Amino acid sequence: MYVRRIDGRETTFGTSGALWRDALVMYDRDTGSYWSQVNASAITGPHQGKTLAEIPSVVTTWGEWRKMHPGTLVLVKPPLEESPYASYIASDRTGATGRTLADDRLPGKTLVVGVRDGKAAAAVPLDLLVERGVLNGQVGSLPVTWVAVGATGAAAFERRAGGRVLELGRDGEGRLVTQGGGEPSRFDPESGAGLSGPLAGERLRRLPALRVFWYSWTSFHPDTALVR
Amino acid sequence: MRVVARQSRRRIVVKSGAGLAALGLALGGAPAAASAGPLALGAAAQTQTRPADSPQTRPSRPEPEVEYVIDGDPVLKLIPKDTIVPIDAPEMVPAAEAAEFMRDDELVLGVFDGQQARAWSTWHLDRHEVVNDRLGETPIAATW
Repeated sequence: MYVRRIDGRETTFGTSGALWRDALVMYDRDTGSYWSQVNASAITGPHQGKTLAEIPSVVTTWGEWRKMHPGTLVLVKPPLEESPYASYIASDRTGATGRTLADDRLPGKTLVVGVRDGKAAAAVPLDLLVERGVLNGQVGSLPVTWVAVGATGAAAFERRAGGRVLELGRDGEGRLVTQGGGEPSRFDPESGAGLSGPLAGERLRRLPALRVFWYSWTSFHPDTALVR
Repeated sequence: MRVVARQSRRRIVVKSGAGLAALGLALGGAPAAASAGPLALGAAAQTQTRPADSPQTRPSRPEPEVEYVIDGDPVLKLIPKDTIVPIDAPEMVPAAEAAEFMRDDELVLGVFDGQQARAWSTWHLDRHEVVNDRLGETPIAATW
């Protein structure tokens, strides 16, 4: 999810019909520059090297989403058919162009939740995150907490508030709660708002997190850390 | 203290981040073809892996053209631009009006800015890749 504004100027995106690193490429309708959907940067054209601002988003079920956000709007569409991904997910093959997987720390089709900070990248396996509810790690020097949202979604926060780095867990209500000694502080798991304890009123910074296959993540971020 | 989500193993469906479903639909036309289509761009692979498919009834696969090489990796042009049609004027309705076309177990991509929430079905995004939309005053591109 990106802000479609480049150098302060609003634009719209089309689909280029081209593929780079097994991911589709968009183009901006002002200059025709190609943009990778995965790393949000222009790879050709007048905007080459520029990056779009990212907006945190989440993938979850419609039932969970409307429970979290009863006032949500939703895009009108035809009723559901079967996902065209069905056999792709089940197969061992990765990608569209037969690239071989360069990183065997996980099977290529493992879903991970990736976070970037500058040139640093780190990912957690989605199934492990959903099982644990929360995982603490680092993206380069940035301390990050990955948070499961509903049964299939994920969010990420910089785990720093009140001038210190936090270890976060989940409490019985699903809220994020500081670990270790002293009086615990609790945070809203979606907004990052401090709800109670010494850090009430503080807010964890939400980070864009991409839910993606491991093979795709590693082809863009070969030096990625794997948190588990 | 850790909480394990009760529904944790229920169903984790996929977003590849790569828009391959849309490409498969554009290349093969139908979801059935798409399930193999994005993975088998070469005709040989296609006939070997999908012997049941009659070549006569399938559209011929274009030869990918290398448009650029960026950071050592080719940019492969597979289909004309905007064959996968982006959504430029999204029609959005409140959740209460969505019962006819949204299922509770269907996946959505959602965004919330603290005030407003918007959601797009990932099944629908498979077919369009990009929604040029707006979140309050902010012009956004929901991409898939």
